[in-house]
Amino acid sequence: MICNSRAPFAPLAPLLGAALLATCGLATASSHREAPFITTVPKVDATDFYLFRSYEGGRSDYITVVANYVPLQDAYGGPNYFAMDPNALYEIHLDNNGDAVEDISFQFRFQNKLAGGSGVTLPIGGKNVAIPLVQAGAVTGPSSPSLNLAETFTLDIKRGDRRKGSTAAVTNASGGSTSFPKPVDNIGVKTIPDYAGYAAQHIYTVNIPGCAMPAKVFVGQRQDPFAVNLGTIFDLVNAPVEVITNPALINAVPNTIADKNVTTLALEVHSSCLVKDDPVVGGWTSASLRQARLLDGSPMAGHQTAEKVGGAWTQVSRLGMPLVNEVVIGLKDKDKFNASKPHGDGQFIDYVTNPTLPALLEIALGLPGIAPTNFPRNDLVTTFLTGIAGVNQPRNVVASEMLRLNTTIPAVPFAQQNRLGIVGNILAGGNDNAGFPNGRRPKDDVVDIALVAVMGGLCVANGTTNALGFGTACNPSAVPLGATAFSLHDAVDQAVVPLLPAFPYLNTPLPGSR
Amino acid sequence: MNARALLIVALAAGLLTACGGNSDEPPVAVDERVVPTSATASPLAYTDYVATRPLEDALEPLVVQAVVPPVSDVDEPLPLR
Repeated sequence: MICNSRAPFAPLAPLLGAALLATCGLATASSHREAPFITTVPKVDATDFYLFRSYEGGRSDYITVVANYVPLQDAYGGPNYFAMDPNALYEIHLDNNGDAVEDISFQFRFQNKLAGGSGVTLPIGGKNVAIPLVQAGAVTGPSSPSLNLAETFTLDIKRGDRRKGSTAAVTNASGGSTSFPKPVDNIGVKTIPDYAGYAAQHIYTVNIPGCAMPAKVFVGQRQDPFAVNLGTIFDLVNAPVEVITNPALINAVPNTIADKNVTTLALEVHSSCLVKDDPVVGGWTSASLRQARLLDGSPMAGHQTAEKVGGAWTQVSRLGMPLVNEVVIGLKDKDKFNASKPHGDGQFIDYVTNPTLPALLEIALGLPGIAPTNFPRNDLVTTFLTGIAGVNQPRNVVASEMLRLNTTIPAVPFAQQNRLGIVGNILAGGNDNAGFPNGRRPKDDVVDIALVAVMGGLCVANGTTNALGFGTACNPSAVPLGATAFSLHDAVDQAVVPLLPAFPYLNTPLPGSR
Repeated sequence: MNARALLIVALAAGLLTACGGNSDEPPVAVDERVVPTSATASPLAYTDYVATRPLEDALEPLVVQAVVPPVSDVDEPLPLR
């Protein structure tokens, strides 16, 4: 397929090199339960982060940012389902000058309140008794009286430092409210017969102080948009080599998380609100908990009353480019990575210059000697930490891990998007430079792109003449797999995952009952 | 000892008792399950208090229903090492 194309590299060398560099940069998909501590607090576990120019018709001047949380939700997970944590701070950070420090942060806080303060009751034998469910009947619209638990959120924009910068509340363009109802999760077709219609009522047009154009925000459950052969990958890549190197078999096995939901924080913001002097915007998401917590051995009546939290916000989750903490950072440093900020990424440099994933693939596949040998892997450093020169590298970039989007590269309609992002587009001789690693769209198959990259595809493209500027050590002789590196995949095709044609782009979540 | 001296001794004993000189009264018990006021004086104090709670299998949980933990949206986390 694309990976076996004989597209001429030389004339397109700079762009191809940049693209390959970006894709090689370990930008894989998703980040489910990737660190020891985060497995204990799933409500603040970021799973995926997307950053792209909106490709819905007429919206190309807008930038869509999506942060997904709470991995591996089974749709039937009642009676409490997956309300967000009111004791957490969820953030989306944007760096618009390349200095590895956030310039804008969108901060989401959640409030979960029982109806009437103490919840819905039923008269039972002369006594009013509280019901055990989050709903007391069918739910059809925001703030439905049938909901026993009302979930709402507030959204602030912070400019400057995420803690000490200036704060302003984002308001509903209709009415000016600062509190937004969040849709209840997709309990099932009897409670919510038309969940797509119900959820759509929770897409809000909002005013962001300091921004000339209104934006959109949606927070709610979605079908997990990530496609991966998850169990197989982590079981020492338990798949035949002849399958994962055959481009005809890119969708040979089922997506093992196709029946899972996630919770999405989605924003669509006009580029004029985010872009400053540099057209490249970097982004990542983080979640924080209060540093101090005491558990109550005798919780009061109410909702989530078993803990008393205090102190400062303490970051426990971080996600920019996907799969960094899953397959790049060593186990002993995963919690540290989740607590870290981009400007401190030098501490993790060995994981990039001397990556273990190729060697692990040798072990897993029983194929010694297939890992690239150009050390340090400056091809991965360049892709992973700076963006691609001429594509999505900020003018004054400070090396750091985050997703980077060139806001001047046009969006491409969904049907024309290349699933292998920029590198796939170049190999195919197409017109789609709007994909990963130039930001990330839901359709981009970052797992396949990452496999190609990490196993030396960049150095094959760099050739013997250092055509792409990765250094002379990054050449085909350092890539035992040779051109076969371009054929690698995980046998699950990201491009066939169902999506919506417009904001928030991610599909209606699966129902708890059908 | 005449009656006057006995009265003086009795009065002295009474004064000693009033001054807490009676060693038969038990000491006032301190409820170790109560979060001290000092712990909620500031976000830093609360964090420090929680951080210094001992790992003790025999302790009962703190009584925290009335505790209102102080929070800060601008402070950085307290270093714990």
